[in-house]
Amino acid sequence: MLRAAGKAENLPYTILGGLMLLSLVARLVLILS
Amino acid sequence: MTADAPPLSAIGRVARFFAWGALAYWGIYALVAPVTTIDSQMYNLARLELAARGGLFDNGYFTSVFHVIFPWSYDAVHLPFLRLGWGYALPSFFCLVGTCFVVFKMVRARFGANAAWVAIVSLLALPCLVYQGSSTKNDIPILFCGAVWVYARWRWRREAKGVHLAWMVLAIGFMAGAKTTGLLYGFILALWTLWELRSQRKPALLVGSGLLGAVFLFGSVETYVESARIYGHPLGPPALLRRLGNPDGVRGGLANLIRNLGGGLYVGPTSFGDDQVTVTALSDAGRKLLGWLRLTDVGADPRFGDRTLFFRQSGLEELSGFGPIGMLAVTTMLGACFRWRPRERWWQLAAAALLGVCLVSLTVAFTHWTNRYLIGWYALGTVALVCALWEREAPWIRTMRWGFLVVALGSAIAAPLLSFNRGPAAMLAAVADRDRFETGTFPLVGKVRERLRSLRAQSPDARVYFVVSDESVVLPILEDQKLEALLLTPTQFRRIAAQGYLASGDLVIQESEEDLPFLARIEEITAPNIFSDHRTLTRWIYRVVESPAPKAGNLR
Repeated sequence: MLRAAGKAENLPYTILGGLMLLSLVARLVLILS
Repeated sequence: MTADAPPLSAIGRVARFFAWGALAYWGIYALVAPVTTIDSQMYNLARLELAARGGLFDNGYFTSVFHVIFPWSYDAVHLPFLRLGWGYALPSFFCLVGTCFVVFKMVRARFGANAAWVAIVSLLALPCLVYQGSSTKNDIPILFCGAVWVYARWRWRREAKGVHLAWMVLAIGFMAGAKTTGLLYGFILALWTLWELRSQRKPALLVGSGLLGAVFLFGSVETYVESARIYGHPLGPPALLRRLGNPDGVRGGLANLIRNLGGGLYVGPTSFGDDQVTVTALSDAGRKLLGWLRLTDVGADPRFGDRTLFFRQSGLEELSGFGPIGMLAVTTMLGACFRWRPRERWWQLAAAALLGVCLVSLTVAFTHWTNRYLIGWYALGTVALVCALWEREAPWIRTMRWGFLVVALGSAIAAPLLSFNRGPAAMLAAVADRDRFETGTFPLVGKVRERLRSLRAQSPDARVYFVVSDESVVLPILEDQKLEALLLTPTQFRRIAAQGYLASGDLVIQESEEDLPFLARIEEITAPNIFSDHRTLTRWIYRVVESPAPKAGNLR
C-alpha cells in the first residue's frame, strides 16, 4: 500500500493516507495530554 | 496529470493554464493564511488548544458544548500547523487538489483531456468550494473522502485489485470521523460497498471487518463516547440536535430544498453594504414563495427564520454561494427532472447531485451557512454539466463549451477578488498584518487581544480570566501564550470568585450574557461584526479591584 501511494495515479490515496496518519498521531497526543 | 494524455486543443490548453494558475494561487494562500473562519476560532481548532492542556476526556478547559460533541478526526490534522503558525489551510487545500485529481482522471478517461481541464476550471469557479478549500472547516474532507471512494470503486472495477477496496473502506472511516454528517454519508457508502460485494462472501466479510476497524481508528469514536458520557447521547444534547436537524420532516425538506436551490441562483456578487437590490429581490421572492406554499420558517433553525432569509452570493467563506457556474449546476440538476436520459453520464451525475441536495435539505436545518454542506453536490452538478457538453459533438456545442469556459474563467478569477479576505491584498495582509487579518471576520476579538496585551504589559502578574458563552471566539486569545488566559463558564467563574481565588489587579473579559456587578469595569470595547444585525458587539474588560472574595449575595 505504501509503495502504491508513491505513484502519481494514487495521489488521492496519498493525500488521504497522510491526513489519516496525521489525524491518528495528533488525536493520540491530545488524548494523552 | 498529463503524462499519457492525448494532445490538447485550444480550449484544453486555455483551461489547463488557468487551472494551474488558480491552484497555485490557492496553494500559496493556504500556506500563508492564519485561521480565519470563526467556527474554527470558536471550536474546530480552538478545541485542539484546550485538549493540549487537558486531554479529551473530562477536560475542565472545555467550556462550550461544541468543544465536546463534534467529531474531530479532521480537526486534529491541524495540530502541527497550530504549532508551526503557518499552513493552517493546507489540509483543506490538499482535499481540493485530491478532488480535482479524481475529477480529472475520471472525466479524461471518458471524455478526453479537454473536458477534464474544463471540469477542473469549473470546480475552481465555485466560490464556496474554493473558500472551503482554503479554510480550516471540516466540510471539504467529506467531499474529498467521497471522491476517493468513487475513484477507488472506479479503479477496483477496472483493475480488480483488493487494494482499491481497502481505500474505499478507509475513505468511509475518515469521513465518519470528519463531521457528523459524514456518519450519514459513510453509512450509505458502507451499505453500497457491501451491496457491491453481495455475491462474494470472503471479500464482503473482509470489507465488513475493515469498516469496523476503520471507523474505530479514524471515525472519532472517542468524541462520540465523551459526548454520550456527558450529554447522554453520542451526538450531543438532544435539544441542540433538534435545533441543528430539520425538525419538520418532508415539509421541512421541501422548504430547505427551495432555500438551498434558491441560494444557487446567481444575480451578481454581494457586497457588505445595504444596497444589494438584486440579491434582496431574489431573497424576497424566495420568502414569498415559501409563504405561498405555507412553508415559512419550516425546516429552518429557529435562529434563522425566513424573516432574515438572504441568498449571499460571494465574499465570505462561511456564507458564500456558488456563483454563475453554481447556477448552471442547479439548472443541470433541474434539467435532469425534465429530460429523462438515464443512460447518459451527465444525467446520472445531475440526478445524483439533486438527490444529494434533497438529502441535505431533509436532514439539516437551514441556516445562513448551509451552502458549505452542499459543496459536494454543487461540484457533482458542475461536473454533470461538463459531461453534458462533451456527451456529443456538434458545432453549436463546441461554441457552448467556449462560452461555458469563459464564464468559468471569469468566476475562478473573481472568486478571490470578490472575497474580503482571499484577494491578493488580503494575502499580503496575511503576512504583513497577520494579527488584524486573523480577526478580520470578528474584529472585536482582535481589539480585545490587543488591549489585554497592553494591560498585561503594565501588570505582568495579573491573571486573565475569559468568561465565555457557548459561542465565544476563543482561539485568538488562547494562541497568545503570553496572555495565559483561562477560559471559564459563568458558573465556574462565580465559583472561583466565591472561593476567593481572584486577586487584586486580575483581568476578567466577559463574553457571556451574565452580569458581573461585583467587579469594577474598566473598559467596554466595541467593533463591527458582520454576523450581527446591528454590526457591533460589545465585550467588557474588568479589573478585579478587591482581593478578598466578594460577598456570596453579590455573586448570584
